[in-house]
Amino acid sequence: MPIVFVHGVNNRDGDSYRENALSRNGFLREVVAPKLGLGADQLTLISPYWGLHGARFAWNMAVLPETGAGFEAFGGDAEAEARGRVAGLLATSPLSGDILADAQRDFPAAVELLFAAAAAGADDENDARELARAYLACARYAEQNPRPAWLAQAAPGNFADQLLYAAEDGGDERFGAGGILDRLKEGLSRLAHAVPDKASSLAVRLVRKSLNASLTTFIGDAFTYLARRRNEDGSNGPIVQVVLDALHQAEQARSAQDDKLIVIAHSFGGEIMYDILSHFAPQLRVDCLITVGSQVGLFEELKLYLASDVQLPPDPPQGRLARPAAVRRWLNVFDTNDVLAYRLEPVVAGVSDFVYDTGYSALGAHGGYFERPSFYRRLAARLAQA
Amino acid sequence: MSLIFEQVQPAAGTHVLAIGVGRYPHLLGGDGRLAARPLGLKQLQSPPVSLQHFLRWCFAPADAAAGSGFSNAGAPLASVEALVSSAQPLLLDTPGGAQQVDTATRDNIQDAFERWLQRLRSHADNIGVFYFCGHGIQVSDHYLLAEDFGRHAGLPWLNAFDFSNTVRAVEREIAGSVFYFIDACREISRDVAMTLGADPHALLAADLSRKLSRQSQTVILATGEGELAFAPQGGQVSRFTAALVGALSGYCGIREAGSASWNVSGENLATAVRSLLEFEALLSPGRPQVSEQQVSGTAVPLLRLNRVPQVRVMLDLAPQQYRPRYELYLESLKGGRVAQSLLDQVFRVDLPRGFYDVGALDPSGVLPALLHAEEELMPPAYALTLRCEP
Amino acid sequence: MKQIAVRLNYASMSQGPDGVSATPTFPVRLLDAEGAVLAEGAASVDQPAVLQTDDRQEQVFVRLTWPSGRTETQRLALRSGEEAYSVEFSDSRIAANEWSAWAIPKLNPQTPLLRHGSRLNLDLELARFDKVWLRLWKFAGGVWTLQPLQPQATYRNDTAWQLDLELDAAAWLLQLGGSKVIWRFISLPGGGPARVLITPRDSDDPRADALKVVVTSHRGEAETLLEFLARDALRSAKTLAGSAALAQQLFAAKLADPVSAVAGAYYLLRANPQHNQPLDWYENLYREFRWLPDAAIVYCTRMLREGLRDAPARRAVRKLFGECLERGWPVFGEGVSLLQENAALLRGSGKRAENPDYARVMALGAARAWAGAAASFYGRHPDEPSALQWVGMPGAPRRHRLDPALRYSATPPGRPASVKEKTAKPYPPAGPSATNVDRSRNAAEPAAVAPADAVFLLGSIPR
Repeated sequence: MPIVFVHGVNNRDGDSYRENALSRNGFLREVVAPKLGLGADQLTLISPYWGLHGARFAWNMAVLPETGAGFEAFGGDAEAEARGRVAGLLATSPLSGDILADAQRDFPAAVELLFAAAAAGADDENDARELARAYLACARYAEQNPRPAWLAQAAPGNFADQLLYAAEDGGDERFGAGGILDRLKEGLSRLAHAVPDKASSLAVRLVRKSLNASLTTFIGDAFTYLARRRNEDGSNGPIVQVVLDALHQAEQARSAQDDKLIVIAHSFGGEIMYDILSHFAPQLRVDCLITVGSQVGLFEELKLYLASDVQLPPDPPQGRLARPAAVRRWLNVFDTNDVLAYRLEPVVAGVSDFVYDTGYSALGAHGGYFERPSFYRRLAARLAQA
Repeated sequence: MSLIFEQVQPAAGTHVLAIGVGRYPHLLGGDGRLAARPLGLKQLQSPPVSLQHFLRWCFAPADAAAGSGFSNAGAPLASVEALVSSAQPLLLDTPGGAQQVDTATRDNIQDAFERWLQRLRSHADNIGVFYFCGHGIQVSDHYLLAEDFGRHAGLPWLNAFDFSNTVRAVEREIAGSVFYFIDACREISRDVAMTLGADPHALLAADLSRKLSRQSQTVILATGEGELAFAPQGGQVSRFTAALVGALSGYCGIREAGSASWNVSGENLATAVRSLLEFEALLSPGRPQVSEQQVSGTAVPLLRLNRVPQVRVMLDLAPQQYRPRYELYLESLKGGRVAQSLLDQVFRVDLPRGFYDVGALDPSGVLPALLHAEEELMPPAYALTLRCEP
Repeated sequence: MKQIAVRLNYASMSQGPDGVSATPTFPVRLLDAEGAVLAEGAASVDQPAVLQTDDRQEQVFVRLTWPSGRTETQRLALRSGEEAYSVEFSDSRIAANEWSAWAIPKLNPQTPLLRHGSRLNLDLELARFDKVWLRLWKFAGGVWTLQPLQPQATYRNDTAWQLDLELDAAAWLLQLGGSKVIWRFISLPGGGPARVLITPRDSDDPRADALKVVVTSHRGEAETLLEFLARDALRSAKTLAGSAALAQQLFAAKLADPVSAVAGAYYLLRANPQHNQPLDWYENLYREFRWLPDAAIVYCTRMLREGLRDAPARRAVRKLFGECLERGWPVFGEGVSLLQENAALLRGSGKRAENPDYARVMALGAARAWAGAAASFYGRHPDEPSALQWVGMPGAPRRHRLDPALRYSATPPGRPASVKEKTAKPYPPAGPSATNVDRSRNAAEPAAVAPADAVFLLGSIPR
């Protein structure tokens, strides 16, 4: 079964500060795929990249209030990027980053933070998958044991050891630790680096700049897309074409045993998908469309789609638009703190709005869905419900 | 008390020091205060069991038809020291009956090592055997962890020892030969790399004023650098120790020109252990474990066997639907034939090493005869799948 | 007594580039039907091995062993009244291409390069490695610098690529890497022609690299000796060396060929600690060939093994150890092991943290990779061997890590690797930068930035 992931804005240079695609793929495989009745290895993941055709900024966003200080403070190698991600994550989270203190207050939240910090640096999809599997075991354990006895005596150097030990389940005996602990220790070290940043507000400025940049890119992408979704000769514009190609590729990957097509669209990717499913390729069968932090409803209120008709529905606000016929199921996920995410149920019939609320602040919410392990777990649980 | 066997030899002898550490009170799941950095390491069930397996081989009768034990007329078994740490008190089987031995703390290991080394020095052709099963960590050197590892928060590495440097020191102290069998992980841990003072002492400091004096030295490590070693769950013999004891129990050996016995030296033992690990992987696929060796010096045999080494044979036929219609056979070029007739299963048999014609016949004469002529069955194992293409 | 002459008809294996011929030499053994050894010797193209056995044997088996561990055996019926026999091993059936024949004895016994007998049924898809890049580094004036990679000749078939290089007397490293190929260095012997063969992984050892590299400098005997040593096959090495005679001969001819001389020295240090050549042989080698790191390493090892009787001896050997590192990295992997041994012995107690030489050697030890007899290690720059693994193009290194437990489950058997590649595809490089993140900056090498022409792509080797 193919999953197509349609990215939103923010996937430009600097995107790596907000999200790690390898880590996302790993969690989609290990956490989400099984709930769809799929083996992690069988899942085909297709991630079309349309950002190349998005907005270009002639002055490189010089209009933003805070240029200069920002992303570059973390340097440029992969580990520095991961640290940047964790700093952003921590700055917007309600936790302190002192993992022991956090765990004593809210054990499941601390487990989530630890794995998010570890996943932020996954440099291999297999790494991310291994983390995702360990996360599932640890998250389950933390929910069932919100105050384990060992936590009171734990030290920073052995918290991760004891968590993994408590949560693990069997397998061959090995005369060593295995690699997962090292990943968690790397996560802890990223958190430790992020704590002073959080205090010094560098990370907050970073995230604010990131939010500003997101908003700006968002506006730019929306204008660019709306202006160029069709070429002058009436053919499909480049962004539409990139995404359509991926959808067709996914259709090809359907097989008799596995004939479902799932599309996950983040942010503005949702609008692109809605335009495609309502206008460019209305016959394309999508078994499940998941829009995350998206503005599909807002754009329909503004009647900005090619299929939009000011006459429809005849009776707003009571009436609803029909869901595109070829979409079997539509889940719209949003964090109430995400200022860029909108509900959809009031506008389109047959859609389930699903609130994913983590208590993270508005600054980080919009870009942060895919970097939080619990997002995949909750999404998977929701998908498993009939 | 850790000396479980001693028989003073008039000339050269073989001296064994065997250590199995399963109980680590300061590691995860232990009954002591948890170490500040337990390195993700926990209690092990396999080492005491693996140690016993190894010791039983030491004391088993020589040249037995099945599971033969230690045998070396040039250097008979002279002493065995053993230390074991296990969750439950453990009695070790010895020729003198079941015995309880000291635990494998760092101090006890040091004392036993010094006695072992002293005995090794006593004759120029003595052979030493050093067996360790427990937790290990590779930095640039290989460190092995004693039972009380992690006991002191201020000096977490106090109760480990640097195995690599111990080997480098011993080769300047003795004139004979040593075989080291190390059944431990060689994982490179981030925590260790980041811990200052991850610098445990060797069991002996190298004396640079001394000349390299040993004849031969063999180190066989359970796994490659940066890799893990494994045991099946539930307190069973580890994969490596099973392969090691398997190879030593009559499934290894070369008879050199002019020699009366089949000799097991470091090189052919290392190859046999590796082959057995591979052979086991054929039977139960899982995460592979590949042993590693360092062999130096002249070839001094650890064992001198009078019986021709055996080979574990696994003969199969593909495609499987033809298997029950064939007789699978091995015919020795010295004479003698074994066969499995018309059975839908892999043909498993132990045979003496040597040259064989290996083939399959259809008694009804319908399917083609298959033959691999003059195959050399080399210990410890031989696996072949004959292919039938009617 | 019966005499059996074992001849080697290895014409294609003896073939080097123009004007160079190698004489591969392999150990042969005479066995009885139980596999017991009756006699052993070394056979080469020039010189047959002559093995003797008594008259009681009616049949014997002649076994030839390659460094890879692969053996070839022939049965010989002995008749009464007939004293002299001859057995020939031929390479006519060995390789699909003559140019790659030399490498086969150094590769996995099941290598797909073998024309016959390979049990692996691999689609090697060489094209997937077209973007794998090679760079050449030379150690001169105390620094590693990039050199243009301009092979004298290149070769390619369905299973391998090959390059012929001509190298002057210095320490050389070949570096290779790619988007899925971990960056690594392989030492090349300087002072003459060197030939490099690259082929996709041919084993399921968890540590095996995606591409296997083997090197020859057409020193048949010396190289085969070290190939056996690298695999701890001491018996075969001993058979070959004929109780150290060959090694001594290689060593004695050091002025003509220092690389063979160090090979001989490595063998003697490994196999015959009791019968080493006099210290001044090592000293001469070290003094005559200042460019050859291995010459300093074997001398340093020999001194340490002799025992350091007084303080001046200890000072001298410490200085010598420092010099080992000032010559670049050794040509042979055996040299890396000896460097580690020497470093561990010399660091002294409690001083290891401050000892940069020790730290460098330990980093080299931790970064070691496998390339048969040749020294090989992982890392981004020759000066910084590193256990951290990197992938990507030279200008854009990325960290790499792969858990062995997942390496096998990730691609189910029978599924082409290209499918996985597609699904895990990262985004293409971004367009104009929206922020100030400068990606090219991280790619800067510690010492030299690669000129564009220094990158040589495997895909550029024509068929």
